[in-house]
Amino acid sequence: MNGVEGFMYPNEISLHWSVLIVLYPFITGLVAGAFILASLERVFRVEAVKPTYRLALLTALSFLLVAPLPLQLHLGHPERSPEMYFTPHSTSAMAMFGYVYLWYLMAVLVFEIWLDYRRDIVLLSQTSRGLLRVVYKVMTLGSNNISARSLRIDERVGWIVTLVGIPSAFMLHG
Amino acid sequence: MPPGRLGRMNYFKDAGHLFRFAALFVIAFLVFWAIRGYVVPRTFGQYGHYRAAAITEIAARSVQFAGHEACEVCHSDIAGAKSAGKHAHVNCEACHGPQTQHAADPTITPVKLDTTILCVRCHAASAARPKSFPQVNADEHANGVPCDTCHQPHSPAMDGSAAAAGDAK
Amino acid sequence: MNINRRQILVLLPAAAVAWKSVLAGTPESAPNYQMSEHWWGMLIDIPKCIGCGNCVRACQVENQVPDGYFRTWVERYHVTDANMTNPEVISPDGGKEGFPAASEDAGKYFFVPKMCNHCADSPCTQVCPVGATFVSPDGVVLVDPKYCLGCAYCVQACPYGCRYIHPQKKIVDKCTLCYHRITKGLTTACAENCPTGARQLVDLKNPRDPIHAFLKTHSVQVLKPQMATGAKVYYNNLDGSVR
Repeated sequence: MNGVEGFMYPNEISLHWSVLIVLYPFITGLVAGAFILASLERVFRVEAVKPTYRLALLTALSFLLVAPLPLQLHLGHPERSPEMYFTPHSTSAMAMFGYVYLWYLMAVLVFEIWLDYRRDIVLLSQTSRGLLRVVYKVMTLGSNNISARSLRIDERVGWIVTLVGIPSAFMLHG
Repeated sequence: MPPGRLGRMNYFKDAGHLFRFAALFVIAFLVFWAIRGYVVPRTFGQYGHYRAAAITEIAARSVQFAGHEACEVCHSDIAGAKSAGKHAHVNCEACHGPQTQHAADPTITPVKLDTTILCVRCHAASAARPKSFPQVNADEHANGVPCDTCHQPHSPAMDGSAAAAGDAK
Repeated sequence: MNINRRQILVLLPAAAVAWKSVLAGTPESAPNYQMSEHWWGMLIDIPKCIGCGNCVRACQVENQVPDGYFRTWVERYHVTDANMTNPEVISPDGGKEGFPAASEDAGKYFFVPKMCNHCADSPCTQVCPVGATFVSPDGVVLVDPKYCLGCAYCVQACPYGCRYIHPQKKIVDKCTLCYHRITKGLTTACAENCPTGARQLVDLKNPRDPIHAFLKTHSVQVLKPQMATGAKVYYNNLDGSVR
């Protein structure tokens, strides 16, 4: 086989992308996997996994929230990382995946969890006291409607979100 | 379920929380856009997807090597002797090191060079160097004697032309 | 001769006027430097390189390059009958203190100075997530030190291994083609200090540039042409074994 052996460019002797970078696809793999488990119940109506639905979604959310941490630790200037959202370079996979992450976090996970927990949030906002009451009140977004029809609408919308979420999970993790 | 206009009002009432959620997204986007307008540098995007002022800042960095033309302004006699010899294309600072400080303030004298270590950097014999390139084994050739004892560095050939040029060391 | 007049005489007469604009912070508006009039490249003449390491040292001094990292470096290749397909390559400390004397006479030796190729179609500027590294309008690939995150994506993407993370500043650093010099009419530090003229700056947009004429009359190659990076550092007599 042709080629130079046993030589590395002098600048490449110190490897910059190592374990901190690898952690991100690992963690998003857990996120995507947990989400697919949840989607089995919601979209594919697999009754056997129904008890894991909420846990799977919360697992996905908690891991997604910590996924950027190793990346931030790896950066030379983590305080400049918002630049990726303000001036994303459209030819850069890293910048585009920053938006994929944001989409997945907000439009898929947070939305779906809110829809599923909304009834409990409204009830808790009415029964709890003190700071917790304020927190729950904010989370209701000012709407106390938990009528049967509104919950059916939530179900329907949640179904669509999960459906969109499955290809989004593929895009997040691959 | 009440039909007609009342039914539509009921739908709006039952899906109201979704519109509030959507409104949250819109507000978040507007806040993002406002912050962006404030944070993104003014010159960004002027020539391309980068901060154009960076070009100016990089070009304004300080220079360490003055360049041979700067030396020749004052040292024209040496430049003349050099251009007649073998080191014609060796620039001044290649041996003398960075000299912008001296060029800006000639009272700052450059460090005297030690030819025992300087010359061998180029002229030490090595099978890796072209055969036509002048190279010697320093120990055998000079036996510890500094190179400028016999060679005039500005015109190093040993054919009497250096002595004839008569420039001082 | 007072010091002020000396200072002006110090620099090239043509550059003196430009120097004032540079000090004012607007070099592109200097009367004799317009970015649109230049398209910079470099010529490296392999047979002329003697591996003295002057360029590596000069670059370090000119640009405060940290130890252990290199904006430019020199590699020495040794190809013999025995290792024709796997040539031996060394670059001790980037060639900064030259190379150990080669004793074995058999085979061919040659030195390959390497640097940022200032690619016209550079993979490094493509992958930067924020636009901190870019190709300037006059063809020099630069890094914006105030905008760089230090994510090292470009370091990974560069096929020539010319970028590194500055250990103190935590941003990406690399050869700037001595942009602060060439915009003032000087040449790069490496070209200025090369004793054999193996490294020469070339302005590809200037038909009267003497190196431009050399490129048109000699067979020159770029490194890794299969990567189609549009590299603008041209090598004369580049051996096929160079990686």
